[in-house]
Amino acid sequence: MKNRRKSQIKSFVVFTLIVSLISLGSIGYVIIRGISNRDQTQDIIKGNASNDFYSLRTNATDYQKTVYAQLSESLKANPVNDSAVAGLVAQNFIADFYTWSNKLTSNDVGGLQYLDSSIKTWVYAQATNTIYNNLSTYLANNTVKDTLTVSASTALITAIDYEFNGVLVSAYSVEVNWQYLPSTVVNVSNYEKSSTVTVIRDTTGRFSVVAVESALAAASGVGE
Amino acid sequence: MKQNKRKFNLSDRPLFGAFLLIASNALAVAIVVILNRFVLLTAQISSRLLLLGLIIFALIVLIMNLLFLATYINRKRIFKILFISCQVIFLVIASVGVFSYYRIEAMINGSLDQNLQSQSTYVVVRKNTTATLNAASTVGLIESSTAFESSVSAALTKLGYSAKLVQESSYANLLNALLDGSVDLAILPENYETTLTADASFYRQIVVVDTIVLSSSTASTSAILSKPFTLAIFGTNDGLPDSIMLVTFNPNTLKVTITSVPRDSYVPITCDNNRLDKLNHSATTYGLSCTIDTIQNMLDIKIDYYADVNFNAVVALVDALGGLEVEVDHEIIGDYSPDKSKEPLHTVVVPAGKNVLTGEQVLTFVRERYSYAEGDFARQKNQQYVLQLLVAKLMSLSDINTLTSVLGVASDNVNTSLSQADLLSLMSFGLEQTKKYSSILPGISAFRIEQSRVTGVGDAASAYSPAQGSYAAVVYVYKQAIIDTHTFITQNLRDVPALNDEKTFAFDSSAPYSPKLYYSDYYDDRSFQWE
Repeated sequence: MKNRRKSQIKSFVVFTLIVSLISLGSIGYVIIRGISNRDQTQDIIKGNASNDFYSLRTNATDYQKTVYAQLSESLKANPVNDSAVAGLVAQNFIADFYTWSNKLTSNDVGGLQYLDSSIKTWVYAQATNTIYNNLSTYLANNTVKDTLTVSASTALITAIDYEFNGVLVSAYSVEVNWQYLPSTVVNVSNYEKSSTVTVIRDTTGRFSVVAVESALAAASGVGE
Repeated sequence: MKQNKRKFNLSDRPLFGAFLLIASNALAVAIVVILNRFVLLTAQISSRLLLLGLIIFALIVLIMNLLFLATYINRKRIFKILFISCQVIFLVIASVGVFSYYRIEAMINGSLDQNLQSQSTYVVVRKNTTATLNAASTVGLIESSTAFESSVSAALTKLGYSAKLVQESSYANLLNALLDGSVDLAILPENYETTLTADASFYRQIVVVDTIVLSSSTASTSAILSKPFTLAIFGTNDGLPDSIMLVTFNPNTLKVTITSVPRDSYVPITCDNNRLDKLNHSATTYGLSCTIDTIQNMLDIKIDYYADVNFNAVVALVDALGGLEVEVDHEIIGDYSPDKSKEPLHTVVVPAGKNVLTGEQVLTFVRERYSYAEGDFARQKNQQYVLQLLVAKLMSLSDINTLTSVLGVASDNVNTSLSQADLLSLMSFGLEQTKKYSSILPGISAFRIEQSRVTGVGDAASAYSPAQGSYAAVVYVYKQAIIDTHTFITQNLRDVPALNDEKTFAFDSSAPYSPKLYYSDYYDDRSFQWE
């Protein structure tokens, strides 16, 4: 009688084990598949470091990390030096926009977070239709890592008035000059190396880029 | 001596418990299999939530299985109550879940053209006499391709008609031949009374004796996101494509192009020996597959997929979405009836300004052309605008009840060659990309939508329409418009865009960017492609 009970218990355990293995195995498979299929691009673009206003992409270059750290420090200062912050916002924008070597897709337009929200959509469309158009080719050829990488920049800041949405607001005109790392894929000397970036401060205290004036009059890329 | 008779209790039987356990685990596996199918889609909605849900689900299954052991090994009443209660609750909830899934799947399938074919319905008519048909009877049909003729012949044989086929050059000639007795039967489009121009007394002399449905393959079977593709969207009213839009989508660049093609374009109809006629007459006469062929020929592009959307779908879809916020520049007054044969038309007013419009108001807005100086071209622009708003609203759906309502509307009013897998891939991809750029771009802005249209000159009753058998109002399309449209569409169908020489970048908030236009209403060369 006791042996029969023992055998019954054993069969219950084996039965439960088999049924559980099948069910939990299926659930586990779906969890693993879901995790492995998850696109990591979003996390890279969104970044894992952020100050109160801006974030740093996960695969930021050393120079991007440096200027971002400077910006974060400037934002922490009490009182905040608006002029210095505006200059660093412009430098961060340039460092991300003109660095292609860490871009993951042709739509991964750098520096968009530094733009005023009302102009982001069309600036993104303009960039992807124009200067970022060639990024698709470099991504397809797996040569993007050896394209544009901003390695240093300087900023000359001037306080100005700027008409934004029909209203004259205080703004900063930041003349940014920058350099690229050497590239074997693109002729970096043909690319923009100087621009005047207009930065305004909105009512929430956020500094945003609202205009960029190109110093290079015409495109001159040859031999790409 | 009173004997203690043990009361029979099903729940005491291990076999019953084992049955419950197998049933609940089987349902759990079924749910997981369903989730596995949608894992990419659900992961986009919220990957963390999905993961958490699955872990909780696994724990529930494990606890239920352990309760089975506790119930039948320890034999304690509390375990038994817990085990049975958990099993019943789980079985009910899981069954409802699985049922809902199959309901949604049935709705999706309802709108899909599983065989990737478009169908055209024709009626077999005869003169309203009592004369009997015999082997020598003749059947008249419109002159078209050999494929059309052989399809009609096969369909007639299936119906038991072994009649001789006689081709007529126009429907007017075909109707005359039927009435003067030259042919005993005639093959006409199903909706011949609204699409052909003979008067009512003419139609009173004929009777419908049979219906035939002709199918033709139209779509590609390639995986939808593997390369850029084209989708033709037809807004159909009373069986007539009232609006025609060509959409291209490049999954690499996230660029979408929408091109409106005037329904009245005077073009060679491919299945009518390239005779010139209005583009939408190709659908009423030869079916949607002929319209697709004709557009492919007209613009020299390949159409991969199509979606035929009934006008009532717009009304139902917008209402299912709880309305649509649309900006209208002036008040529009129109009329609408879901079924004119059952319900008279009623007035619909679309107020000026930015308002949340009902389905009827949105349909009135996208159909309006008379109050615009640009006429049909303004209407095309409004249709493209509403299409974008609808896509944006659909992409922001997170409520399963609304999604079910939308799918219900689609299954009743949309016929498409997109497969269920294609639709799921597109939805999943859309959500994935929207989420990917959500930290830097609002809504669906990561998808760059560019618009265009085939331009030309509208002319009232100046061109002969073989299908109509009379002169009709047509649009003569510009030669340059055909070239520009071809360029606009094909450049988005390249896997990788052609390299350009852009090395600088500048913008100013006071001058928002507009993409280059690939159409013009005023070309220097005003010659027409076909006239």
